[in-house]
Amino acid sequence: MSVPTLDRPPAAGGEPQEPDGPDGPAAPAAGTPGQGRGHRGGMLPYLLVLPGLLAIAAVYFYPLYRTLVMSFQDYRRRHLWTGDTPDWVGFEQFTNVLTDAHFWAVATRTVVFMVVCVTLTVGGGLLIALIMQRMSLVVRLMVTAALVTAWAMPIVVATSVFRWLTDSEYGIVNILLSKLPGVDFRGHNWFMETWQGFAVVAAVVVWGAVPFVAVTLYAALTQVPKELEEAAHLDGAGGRQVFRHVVFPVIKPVFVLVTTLSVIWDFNVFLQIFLMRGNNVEPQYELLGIYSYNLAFQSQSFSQGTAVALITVLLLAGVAVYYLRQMMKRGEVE
Amino acid sequence: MSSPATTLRRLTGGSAPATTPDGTQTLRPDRKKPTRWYNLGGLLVFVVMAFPVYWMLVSAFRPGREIRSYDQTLWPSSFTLEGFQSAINSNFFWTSVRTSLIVTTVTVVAAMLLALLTAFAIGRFRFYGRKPLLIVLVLVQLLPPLAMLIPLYLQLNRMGGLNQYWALIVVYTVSALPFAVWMLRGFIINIPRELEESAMVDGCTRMGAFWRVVFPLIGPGIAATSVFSLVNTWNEYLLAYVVMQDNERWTLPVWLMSMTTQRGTNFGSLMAASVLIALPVVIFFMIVQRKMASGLTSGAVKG
Amino acid sequence: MNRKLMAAIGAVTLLGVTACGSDSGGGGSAVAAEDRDETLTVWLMGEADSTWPELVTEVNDKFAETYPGVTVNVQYQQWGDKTTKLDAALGGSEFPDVVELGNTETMTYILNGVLAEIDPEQYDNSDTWIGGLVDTCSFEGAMYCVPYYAGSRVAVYNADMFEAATGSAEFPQTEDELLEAMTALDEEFGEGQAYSPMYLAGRNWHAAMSYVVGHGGQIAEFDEDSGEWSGTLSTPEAQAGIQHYIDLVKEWNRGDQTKDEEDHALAMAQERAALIYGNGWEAGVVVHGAEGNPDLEGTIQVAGMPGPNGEPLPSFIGGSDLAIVEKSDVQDLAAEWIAMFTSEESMEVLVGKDTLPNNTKQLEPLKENPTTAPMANAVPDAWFTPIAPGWSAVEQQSVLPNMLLEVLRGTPVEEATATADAAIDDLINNEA
Repeated sequence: MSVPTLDRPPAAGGEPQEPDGPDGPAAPAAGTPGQGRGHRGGMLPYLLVLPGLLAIAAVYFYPLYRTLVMSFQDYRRRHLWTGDTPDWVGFEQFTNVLTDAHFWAVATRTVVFMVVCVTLTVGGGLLIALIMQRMSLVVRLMVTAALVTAWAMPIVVATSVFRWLTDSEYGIVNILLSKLPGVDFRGHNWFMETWQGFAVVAAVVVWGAVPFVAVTLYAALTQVPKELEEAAHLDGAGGRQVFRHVVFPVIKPVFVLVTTLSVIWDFNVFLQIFLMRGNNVEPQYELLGIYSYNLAFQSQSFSQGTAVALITVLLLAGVAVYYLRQMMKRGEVE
Repeated sequence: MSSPATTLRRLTGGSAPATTPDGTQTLRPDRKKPTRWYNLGGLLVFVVMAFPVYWMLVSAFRPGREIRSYDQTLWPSSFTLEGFQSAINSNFFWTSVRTSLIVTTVTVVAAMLLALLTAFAIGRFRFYGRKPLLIVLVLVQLLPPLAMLIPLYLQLNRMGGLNQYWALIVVYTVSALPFAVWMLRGFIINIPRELEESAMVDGCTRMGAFWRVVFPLIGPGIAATSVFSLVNTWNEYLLAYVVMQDNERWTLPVWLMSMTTQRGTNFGSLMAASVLIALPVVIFFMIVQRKMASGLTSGAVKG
Repeated sequence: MNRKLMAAIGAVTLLGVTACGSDSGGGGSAVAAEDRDETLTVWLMGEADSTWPELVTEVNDKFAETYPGVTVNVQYQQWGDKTTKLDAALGGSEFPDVVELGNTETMTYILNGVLAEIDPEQYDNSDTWIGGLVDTCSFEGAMYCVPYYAGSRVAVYNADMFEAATGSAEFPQTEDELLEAMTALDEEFGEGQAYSPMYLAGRNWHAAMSYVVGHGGQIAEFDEDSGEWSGTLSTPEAQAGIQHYIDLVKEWNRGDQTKDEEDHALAMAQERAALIYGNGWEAGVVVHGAEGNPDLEGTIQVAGMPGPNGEPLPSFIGGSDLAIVEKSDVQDLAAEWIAMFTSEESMEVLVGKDTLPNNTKQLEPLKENPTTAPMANAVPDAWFTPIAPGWSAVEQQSVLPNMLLEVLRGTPVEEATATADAAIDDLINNEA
C-alpha cells in the first residue's frame, strides 16, 4: 500500500503502471505511459472478482447492515434468547447516547488518548528513523531486530507482558523505581490513578506501533536524494533547515499516511485495555470501543452498543475520507 | 474478524523493511560527524524496545519462587523449565494448538487463493466498478471489528457455526482479503505486462500466462502477504473468544488469556505461554523479511 | 419483593415457554436408558476443576453406567465472563444443558424463562436444602435450580504468625483485639517488605458489604408501596460500613489495594499476609493449591471474623446452584446428572474440601468440627444480595466494586455512594 509508492520515484522511469481506469481522473503526472494498456477482458475480471466480493459482502456488509438495523431497535438479551423481533425505536438510541454526559466524557477521553498516542508514536518513530540513518551498521542491525520483534508481538502477548512489568507487587518497574534513593514504589498500583493506568496502556500501544512507523519512515528517508542534502549542506544550511526544506518534503506523503493510519488505530484501541483490566473494564477506563462493548454485553442493551459503534464509525469516516483522498492524490486509487 | 488495525499496520509497513532490513542501505559517507551519539541513541532505542521481550524470556525461565520476590535480578540467575512445563501441561493447551494450526493453515491458503484472483483482476484489467471496489477494499478495513461482533455472532449461530472451525476460517479469510488483495495487486502491477503478453503469443491462455509467468514472479509477494494473514489469524482474540465456547476448541490467544482470569495469575507460566505463542510469529516475521529483501534485490519486485 | 412486576413477567415468560411447547424429556422416556445417544453439555465453574475434579469424574463414570451411549461434555468457565458467554450461548444453538450459576445470578435467568422448572423430589436432601440457596432458586412457588454448595466467609489466618507476634495462636474475638494483633504483626513482620497483616482486597464487595450489614445498613430495599427496589448505600449506616472497610484496606493491605479477592490465598501462601477474609476452603488452597505452599501445613486456620460493635462480622452466604436450560432437548438427562452430582455422597466429597454442603442435614455435623465450625456457624446470621429482577445487572456492571475503587481513589464516600445508588436504581428493577 504505502510502499510501492515509496519505491516509485520519478527516476524509476515509471515503467510498471496500473491500467487506466475507465472512470475517474487519470493518475497524476508520475508518468502513465502506454495508453490503453489495460485490458477489458470481457467477463473474466468479473468472474475473478466474484468469489472475493461475495465473501466480503457476506462477512462485512451483512453484519454492517444488521448493525444499522439493530441501532434503530431496542434489542436486548430477551430477543437474543427468544428470537422475538425487537421494537423499533427510531433515533431513540442515538438521542439517548448523545445526551448522556458519560458518552461525551468517554468521547473526549478517546480523542485525547488518541492524540497522545499518535504524537508519541509518530514523533518517536520519526526520531528513531532519523537516528537509524546515522548510526553504525551493528547498532542499526540491533535496533532493526528489536523493532521487528516488538512489531511481531501478538497484542495478547504484549499486553500480558506489560501487565507483568507493571504488576503492583512483583513488577520489575516498581522494583527498579524503588531502587532509586528516596522512592518507594513497592505495591504501587499503576491502575489506581486513571492517568497512570492510561500511561501504561499508552505504553503498550506505542511500543507496539512505533516499529511500523520507524521502519516505514526509515524506508522513506532512504528515498531522499543524497545530492540534494549535500548541496543544501554546501549552501550552508543547518541540519534543521535541511530537514525542513529538503528531507521532510520528500517523506511527507509517507508521513501523512502513517499519521492517518495511527489516528485510525489509536482511535480503535480496545484489546489492550480490555485485557489489562481483566476483561472487566471500569467506567474510568472506558474508551469508545470499550464503552460500546460494555453497553452491549454488560448492560445487555445491544442496540445502545451498536449505536455507539456506529457513531464511532461516523467519527472515523472523516479520517477515512481524508486517507482515501491522500491515496488518490498520489494515484494509488485511480 | 482479525483487527483491521493490526493487519493494516503489518501490511503497510510489511514491505517497507524490504528496503531496509539489514544494511542493504549504504552508510552515508558524509556523516563523519560523531556517530557515537547516534549509536548511543540507537542503543537506548534498542533497550526500550527489547526490554519487554527480554523480561518475558527471563521470567519464563525463572523459578516460581524467584518470580514472586522483590529481589528479582535483571540478569537470569537460575534457569528452569517449570514455567513451560506447567503451561504445556495446563488444560486445553494441546487442543488449542491444534485449533490454531488448523484455522490458521486453512485461512492462509484460502485467503491467498481468493486474493490472487481478485488482485489479478484488479491489477490487470480495467472493468466497470473497479475503482469503487478498490475504495471498498480500503474502507472495510477501517470498520471497528467490534461493531460487527454481535451480528456476526448471530449470523454464525443461525448457520450452526458456533464451536466450528469453519466459522473462524470463513471470517478470518474474508477479513484477511482486503489487505491481501491490495498488497498482491501492488506486486502484480509491478510485473511487466510484456512477459505475459509474450507467453500468450507462445500460446498460453490469459489465465495460463498468469499462472506460468506472474505467479512465480510474485512468490515473494505471496510469501509476505500470507505471513501477514497468518500473523493476524494466529493472534485474533475477540471473535474466537465469543464463537469458540467449547474449551476444547479454544485458540491459543483465548487459552493464554484464560490463564490470567483464573485464580491468581502465575506470571512465570504466563510468560512461558506467551513465549510459546509469540515464537512462531516472530520467526515467520524474520523469515519474511529475508524473502522480501531477496525479492527486491532479484528485481522481481520493483517500484 | 416486587410481586406485581415479577408476577407479570413470570406469567409472560411462563406462557411463552409453554406455548413454545417444550416437551421436557425430549421423548427420552420412549427410549431405553442404554440406547440413549445424546450429548449432555454441562457448564461448571473452574472451582470444580481445580478443587474437586475427582467428583466430576466419579459422577460422569456413574452416569455412564446408566447411559453408556450419552456423551457428557463438561466445560469449565470463569466467573469473570461466564454470564457474557452464557447470554451469547443462550441466543444460539450451542447452549449448555446444565449450567452452574452463582446464587446471585439466578434471578435474571429465572425471570426471563431461561431455566426449566425442577422437581425437588428428585434430589437428595431437598427437604433440608439451605434456605438461603432455596430462595435464590424459587419464584412463584416453583423451583428453577438445584442448590449445589454454599460458602460463607471466614477469617483465614496464619496461626504461627499470630503466635509470634501476639504470643497467642488464638484468633481475636473482637475487632479491637484484632486491630491490636494487626499492630503487633506489623511490628513483627512488616519491616522492609510488602507484608500485609490483613490482606483485604479493595474490590472485594462481598467483604465490604458485610461491614455495611454489620453497621446496620443494606445494599437496597424494597418499597411495598411503589413496588420498586432502590439503592440504600447512601444511608449513614451503609456509608459508615463502606468507610470502615476502606479504612481497613488502606491501613493493613500493603499490596495492590485495587485488586479483587482473586489471589488473596496466593498472598498468604507466599507468607505475605497473616489474615485474609474468604471462603473456608481457601485455607486448603493456601497449602495445597496449585500455587500453594506445603510448608504452611498445619499453620493455616479458620475462625469467625469479628466485626463492628463487638459483634461477629455478618457473612455473605455465597454459593452456587445448578440449573437446567429450558431449551435443552435432554432435560431428563440433565436432571439425572444434577441429581448424581448433588447426591449425599457427592456432598461428602465437597465437605471433605472444606466446602459447605447444600443441606442442613449434612451441615449440622460440621459445627462440631473445629475446622469447619466457623463456616457452618456463619450460615444462620448470613446476609444475601437483594433478590431483585435486575440484581445480576448490578453485578455484571460492577457497580459495587467500582464504588469501592472510587472511595479508594479518594472520592468522598458520600459522593461515591450517591453515584452507586443512582446506578443501582437504574438497573435493579429491570428484568433483562
